[in-house]
Amino acid sequence: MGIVASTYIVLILAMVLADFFYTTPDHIFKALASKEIQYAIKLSLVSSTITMLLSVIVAIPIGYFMARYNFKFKKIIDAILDIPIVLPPLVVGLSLLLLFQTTLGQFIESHLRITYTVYSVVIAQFMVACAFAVRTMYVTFSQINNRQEQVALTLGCNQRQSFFYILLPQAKSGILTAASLAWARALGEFGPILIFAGATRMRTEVLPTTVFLEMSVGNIEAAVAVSLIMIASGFLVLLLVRIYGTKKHTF
Amino acid sequence: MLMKFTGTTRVIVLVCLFFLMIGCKNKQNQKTLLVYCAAVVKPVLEEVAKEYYKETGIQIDLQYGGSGTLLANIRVAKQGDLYLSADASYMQQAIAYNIIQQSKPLVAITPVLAVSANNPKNITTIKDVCKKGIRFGIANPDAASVGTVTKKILQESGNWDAVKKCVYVQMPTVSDVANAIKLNTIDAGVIWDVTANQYKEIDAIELANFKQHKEHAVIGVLKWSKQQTEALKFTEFLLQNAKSKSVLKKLGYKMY
Repeated sequence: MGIVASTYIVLILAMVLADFFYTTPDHIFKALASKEIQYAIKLSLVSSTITMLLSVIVAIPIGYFMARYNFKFKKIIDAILDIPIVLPPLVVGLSLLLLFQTTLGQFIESHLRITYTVYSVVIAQFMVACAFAVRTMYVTFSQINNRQEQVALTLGCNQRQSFFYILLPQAKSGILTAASLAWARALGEFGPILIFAGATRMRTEVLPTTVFLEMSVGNIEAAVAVSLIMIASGFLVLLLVRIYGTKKHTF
Repeated sequence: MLMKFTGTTRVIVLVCLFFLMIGCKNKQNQKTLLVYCAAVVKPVLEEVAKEYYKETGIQIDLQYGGSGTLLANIRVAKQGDLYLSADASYMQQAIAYNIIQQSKPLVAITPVLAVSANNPKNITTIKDVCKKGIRFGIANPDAASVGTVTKKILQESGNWDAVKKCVYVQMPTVSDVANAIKLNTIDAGVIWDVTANQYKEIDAIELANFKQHKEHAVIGVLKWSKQQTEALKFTEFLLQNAKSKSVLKKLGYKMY
């Protein structure tokens, strides 16, 4: 058991170390100095954060209804919510591309260009990241006993108040987990973005796209440097959430 | 839902693993050649690989991408037998990196300005791509051969700076640009003539200064290939064999 468990962890660390040994601080500074990479870092951080907020806003109500109510076709809805997790990233991108070619999609496009713009980056990230947030919120709400909410209802709270004042505060760490998962997922999203947003430098280029493009030019050093920037920032955010999320809150 | 690893489950898992291992073993006994192939010649290589398997029993594993992307992959992976680049410049790069044993030109390809069938937006010159409402796409100048050539042509004619601003999207390979035209997500793009031939939804506009940039796809044997003779045999087959030639002809490729 112990050997199996440690092998995986060692493998993860070894991967990161391999990146680390391929690059030098000089490469990382050079990468950080490039205009394109600065833009990609900015776009990645901004789009992932927007995706995270959207995902949490959407995931909380879905998770709540799934956890607290029983309704017809619940199993089917549950399966539908998992589709983005199962689909290969390329399929998500292609499906989005086709969606925006339909009459409805064209109607939206005529008012606001989506395909191959930064909006498409956020949509592509959201389609995948949100599914993970929904899963997390569903589990979170399921694990919280609804007794307290029911007591609140008998004491004169209405449904809305019992949700906002009783359930949400208890779900705080779950919401944090969902948010960090969605953020990390969005940061690493590449497949759908390549198809649905293209690989236009200084426009729809996120960090994974940068890695791809730098590789294409044979600039492997820069690709690895950017990968390390991604690993470091992702790890830092997830670590902060873990530390902050496990603190004992007193309400 | 926690899975309990009861005795039966364990046995089933082990049996599955056993079969997987047998499956892998069989594959290893078979001779395979790994070919890194630029997106532009994908249709040819797919058919020729089938023919080659029929004649010799040697499996051709194909990995597709933009010429530049593939070259970077090869340099990292340090394995494989053949590299097929869309134009000579990438092969020269590969030779400069000292990873090519020998190379041969394969087919001639010319860049064209591609539009949707019957040219609904009436695009006739490169300047038209900057008109209002025209979405113009190119392959990424860094990742794909056709992108590099596009940039070179436009720089020579002095249009690059103007056109660069009209580029609505950049794509990783020539096939992605062609697909975008087919899906109507862009109105015009620069692709290879042979790629345009493969799509009935795409019309090619031949422009004089594009025609001068006739390129040719090049195939080269990789230095670390453990099957140099096999790799050379496949190259010969690709260049000389009647079946391979008829495939090229059928798909509209001109021999170099």
